[in-house]
Amino acid sequence: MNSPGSRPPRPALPPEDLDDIDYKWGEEPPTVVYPTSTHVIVRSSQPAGGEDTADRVTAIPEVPGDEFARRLMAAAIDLGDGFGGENAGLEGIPPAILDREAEALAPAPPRAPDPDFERDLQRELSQGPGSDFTLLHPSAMPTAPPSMPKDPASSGPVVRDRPASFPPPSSPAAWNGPALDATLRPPRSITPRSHAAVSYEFPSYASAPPEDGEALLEMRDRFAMGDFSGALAIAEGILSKSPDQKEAASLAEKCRDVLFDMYGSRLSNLDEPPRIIMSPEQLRWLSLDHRAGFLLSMVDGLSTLEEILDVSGMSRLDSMRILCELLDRKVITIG
Amino acid sequence: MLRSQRESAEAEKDHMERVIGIDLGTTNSCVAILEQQTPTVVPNRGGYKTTPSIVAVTEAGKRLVGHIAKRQAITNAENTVYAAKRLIGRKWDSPQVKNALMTTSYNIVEGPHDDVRIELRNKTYSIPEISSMILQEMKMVAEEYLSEPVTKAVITVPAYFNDNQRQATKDAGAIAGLDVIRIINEPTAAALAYGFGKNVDATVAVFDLGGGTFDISILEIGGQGVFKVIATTGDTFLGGEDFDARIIDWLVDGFRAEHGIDLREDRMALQRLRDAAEKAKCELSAVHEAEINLPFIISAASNEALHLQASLTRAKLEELTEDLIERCIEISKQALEDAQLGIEEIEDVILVGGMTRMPAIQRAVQDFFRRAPNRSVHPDEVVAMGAAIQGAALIEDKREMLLLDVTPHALGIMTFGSHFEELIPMNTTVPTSMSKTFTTSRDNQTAVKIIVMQGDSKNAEDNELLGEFILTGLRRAAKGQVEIEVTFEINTDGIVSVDARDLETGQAQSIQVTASSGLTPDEVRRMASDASEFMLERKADDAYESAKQRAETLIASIDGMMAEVERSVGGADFGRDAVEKGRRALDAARAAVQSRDAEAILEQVQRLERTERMFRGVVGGT
Repeated sequence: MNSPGSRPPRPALPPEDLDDIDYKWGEEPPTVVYPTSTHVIVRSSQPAGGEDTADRVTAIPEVPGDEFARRLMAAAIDLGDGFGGENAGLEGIPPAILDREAEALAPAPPRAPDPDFERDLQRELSQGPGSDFTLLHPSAMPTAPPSMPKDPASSGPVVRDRPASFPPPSSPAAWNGPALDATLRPPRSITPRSHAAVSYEFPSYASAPPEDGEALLEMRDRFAMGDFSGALAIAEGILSKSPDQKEAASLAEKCRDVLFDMYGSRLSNLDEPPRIIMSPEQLRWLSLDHRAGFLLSMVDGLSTLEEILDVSGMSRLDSMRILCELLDRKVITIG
Repeated sequence: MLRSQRESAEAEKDHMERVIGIDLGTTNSCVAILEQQTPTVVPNRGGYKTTPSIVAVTEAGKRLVGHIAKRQAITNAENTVYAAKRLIGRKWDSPQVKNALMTTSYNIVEGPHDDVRIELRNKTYSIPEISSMILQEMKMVAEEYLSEPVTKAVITVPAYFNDNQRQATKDAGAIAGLDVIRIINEPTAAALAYGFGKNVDATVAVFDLGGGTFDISILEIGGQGVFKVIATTGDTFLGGEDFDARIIDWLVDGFRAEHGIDLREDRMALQRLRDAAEKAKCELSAVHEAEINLPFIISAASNEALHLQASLTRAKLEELTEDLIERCIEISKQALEDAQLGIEEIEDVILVGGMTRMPAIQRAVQDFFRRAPNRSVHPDEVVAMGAAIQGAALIEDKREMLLLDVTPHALGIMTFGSHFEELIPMNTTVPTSMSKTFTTSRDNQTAVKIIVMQGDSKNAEDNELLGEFILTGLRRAAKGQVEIEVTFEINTDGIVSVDARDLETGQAQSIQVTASSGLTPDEVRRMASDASEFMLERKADDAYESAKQRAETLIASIDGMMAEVERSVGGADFGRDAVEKGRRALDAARAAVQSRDAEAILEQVQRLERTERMFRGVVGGT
């Protein structure tokens, strides 16, 4: 996993079929691709507690990641009738999260042009027909939802304009839709999507020191993709260096809330005692760390999950995460 | 009397107001009651008959007491209080408190009355308040067992506790909502349980090796219900925990030799080591070898988790703790010397405390006292049982079983040259009164200061100051010519009154000395009110959890039958109606659970029960 703040390298070639992309966070962090052009299914292909024991469980939305992110952010910006009424398409998203997502995020001015993006874009644009890369035709891009608030002072996110220094594409027609703020991975074939693009405006970089900019970007990206544990790790890294970074603090809190809900629902009833269902011989072959070992030592078939969390000696979130991993790996069962 | 009449008379006695007996130990506490004229120890929720005397506050502000507090005593060391008994009733500047400041992991601070307080998560607690949390837990254990409230208790204390320490223990009981009708000495309680139902008239030794302290007492048990503590001595820092520490050292040294890692540097590892060491020690009282298996005990530099596996034999444990056992015997020798008794005059040895289960301890005791120790009483429970017996005797006014209180320490005054003149010797039964005549030490002395002290040392500075007052208006005369009579009186409540009188002029002055725990009556009342509120909240939480559990079980059951009910009768009007009612009942129950209102949940539980019965009728389940 790249450390927060470092720019991930672009892959040399796009995969054959983007629908089959399977990104591993530990290897090749995906470039951010807006849901309108493709969708990325984020999978944690490593077993929990695998090679990198600091890895956290990645959230796996029940719907495609783009749809999940769209729904989440739609609730945040309160798109109203354009999306079938209040809270339309938000089934399954905990109300507490929806409420929090509706908190104000101040609009930001366009961010400074990214030299890497410009160089890559220029290279792409210079490719002629028959090349491996084809820019997505802007007419295939859905337009912004009609009810998107235009007032920059509004509490919802606004459409980000394309940086003025970017040259318009030579072909096809002039760009009309919402801009992308990261490297576009053009697909070999595009299936236009029917859902609308949603872009997000987080507080301006002016509020963060320059070295936090990349980390903030990655944090937002991870959050948007539903990787709440990854986003939280980056947010905590930012806060350790810049404790007053409000956006990181706010996002960290949101991530924690989501993760608490997820882990809580996985563990179900905290008044039940867990039991070890794996033999000691099998246990020793597992690649657990000492914290999991400590929690396992608390599992005696009598102490409830709540009691174990009380005496775990770790943060409640970490303890719940480890217990979920132990549950998933069938080391313990509950009740 | 017919058997049925006898049984109902005994049952009626049991239903009289209950008095519980509490052994408030340094490391473990125990509660007992007299049930059907038999002392019975009450197990806690986990089924254990003793509860660790440990209190903690988690990061979330939750209070933990007992076993659960012990399980995080190392990982949350700064906010976990253990061995509060070593500090109760002591002054801030006492040597024991100074020692604790250097050795305890929790923060000890000075209180407003020269007393001792403990800081946990930015809140300060007095020592009686900490002890009251343990007593509250024991009270709750008894109430759950008896299914009725308990308000009266007899609590035991070490024989060497002074009046301030005893008063502080009584205050702890008051804060916990208990009317402490008597404080009795631990060896006395043990002897009472030992002699219960027997006509004992003997001199016995009570060998008490607990989790944190060692006490040896020599008692005379008289036929008139008089239990006299002739001598008591011990070591307040010698107990089962020291034996555990030897095992931990052995494990840590072995692991370090193999892996180069010091497990003591990791709190989680240390917590597991401590629990495993204690478990192995207890096992080795019954078997000759114990396995210690701690997988994933620590992560190495390469992120690989290491395992600890060791096998400890009884012989090795005895080798590791040989000096500790020898120390117990040395102290026992001292006790006999203090009592001015020979070994042959000890007629029985009563073992108290879990550590006395260790075979090596029992052998050492047998070798020293030249007789097998008495094993007829349970060492963990005997003190609480004795307290329960005394409590029942007080309620039933059974005078033949009443213990007579004795003064634990001598009382007297400071005289010229900082000497201590004893007026009431140690172990004098109360109530009592004693007078002595003193004279002036200087010519033309017109006033004299009476300094009242408690202790057993001939040097006044080594004893504890209880109070002082001045008698004035003395006749001017050469030294030695004015006679002053000093009278000490102790009433049944333990209140000491001291009177000084000029025998020639009749001029008199007096004071009343009451023990102080360091808390004012208002503070005790406020703390008791806080404790009561805490218990109410806890009971409300328990009621909610219980109701929620019942509701959730019924919800799951009805949910599970819904599909089949719909299939079976959903086609008919009445069937649709039943399914609809069932769904509404489920929704209402779920909403009630969300509301956290126990009463609302219980109302829905009744509705759910009716729905479940109806559904079972349809699907034909049991």
